[in-house]
Amino acid sequence: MKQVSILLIIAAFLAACSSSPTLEQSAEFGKSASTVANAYASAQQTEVDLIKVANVESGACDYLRDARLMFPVRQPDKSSAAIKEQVLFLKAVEEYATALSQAVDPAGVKKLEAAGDGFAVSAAGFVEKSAASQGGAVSPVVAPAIKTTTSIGIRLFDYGLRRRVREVVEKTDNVLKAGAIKLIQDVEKNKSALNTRYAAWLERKQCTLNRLREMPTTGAELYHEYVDANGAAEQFQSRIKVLDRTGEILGKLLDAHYALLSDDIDLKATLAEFRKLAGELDLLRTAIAKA
Amino acid sequence: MATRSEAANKIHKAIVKLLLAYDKAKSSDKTNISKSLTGLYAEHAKITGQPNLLGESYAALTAQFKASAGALNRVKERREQIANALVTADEIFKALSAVLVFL
Repeated sequence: MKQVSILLIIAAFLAACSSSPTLEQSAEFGKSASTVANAYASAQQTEVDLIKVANVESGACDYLRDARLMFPVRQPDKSSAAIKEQVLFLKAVEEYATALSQAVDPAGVKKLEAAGDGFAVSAAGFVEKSAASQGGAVSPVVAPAIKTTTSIGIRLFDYGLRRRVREVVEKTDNVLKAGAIKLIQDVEKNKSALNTRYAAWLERKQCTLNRLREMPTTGAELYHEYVDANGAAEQFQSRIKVLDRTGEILGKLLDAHYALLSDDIDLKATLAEFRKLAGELDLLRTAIAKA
Repeated sequence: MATRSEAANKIHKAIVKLLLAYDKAKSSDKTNISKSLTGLYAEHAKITGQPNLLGESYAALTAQFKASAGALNRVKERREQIANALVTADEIFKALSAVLVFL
């Protein structure tokens, strides 16, 4: 029993170190990462759209005023570059979420276990045939011994990988917290930059409207069409509403990631698995001793 | 007395609560929330022994996330490599067993 006790202690130690996120937890985190990344991507698109419509507006106003067409090309400034960096950061969070779900996918573990089972059967068959070819016979406990030893080897290897996943998640949680806090602190700046661009566009639009109103019949008809063309404004309002929910989605994102570090369920399952294997080994040891 | 992990857990919950409250907060409260988040994060980093990354650029944080994704991809690849190696060993044993019949 001494060997089994030692094995159990090792097993308990390994189990404590090796609990890892579940696929469900990983999927929840991935969903949150995707939501927040999309919100930011739409904020960036809003700024690009506003720059574009303001350029068109300027051109229209100049044309109507001076009968010449000029499109002053407005380049995205620092605020666009800042939002772009934030979007890239969130895209990296999404990629990480995908890699995480693949690393904890039970299908990969099952494939490994199946390969181990196949290997154990073939190895036992080889040992038996090898003994038979030399006119001897092997103990009936050899095949189960090979199976159990292979099974323990595979589990030890897999727990090593799970422990690595947990280490990565722990380290990344700190990076995610820093990123989320930086983002929430930049949200107001982003909204302010977008509002400034929106105001600049409205000013140019007003200039165009004034010119159209002063024109004869054709211009007046165009004026009515123009007043109705407020799609960009509506889009702006809906996208700015998304930014107003940034705190909520970042909070959920942080919580979903932190949940990946909870270890209650995996720990119990891992210990139970090791106890079962240790019991099997003990039975084998007894059988070998009696043989 | 709370352990380090309990303290880190409480700080995490406080950070999440502040983020959830942020959207509906008044402008002046938003400034306070922002400062509190900075302070809480610094404390969390100190307790967990991790570096304070608030001064880092988004590009630096992005690089760290890419590194984490790379490490996780390697976990998946390593699992696949060992499974493939076991399948190969299985095939070798089967072939050898077949040869032994003729010896």
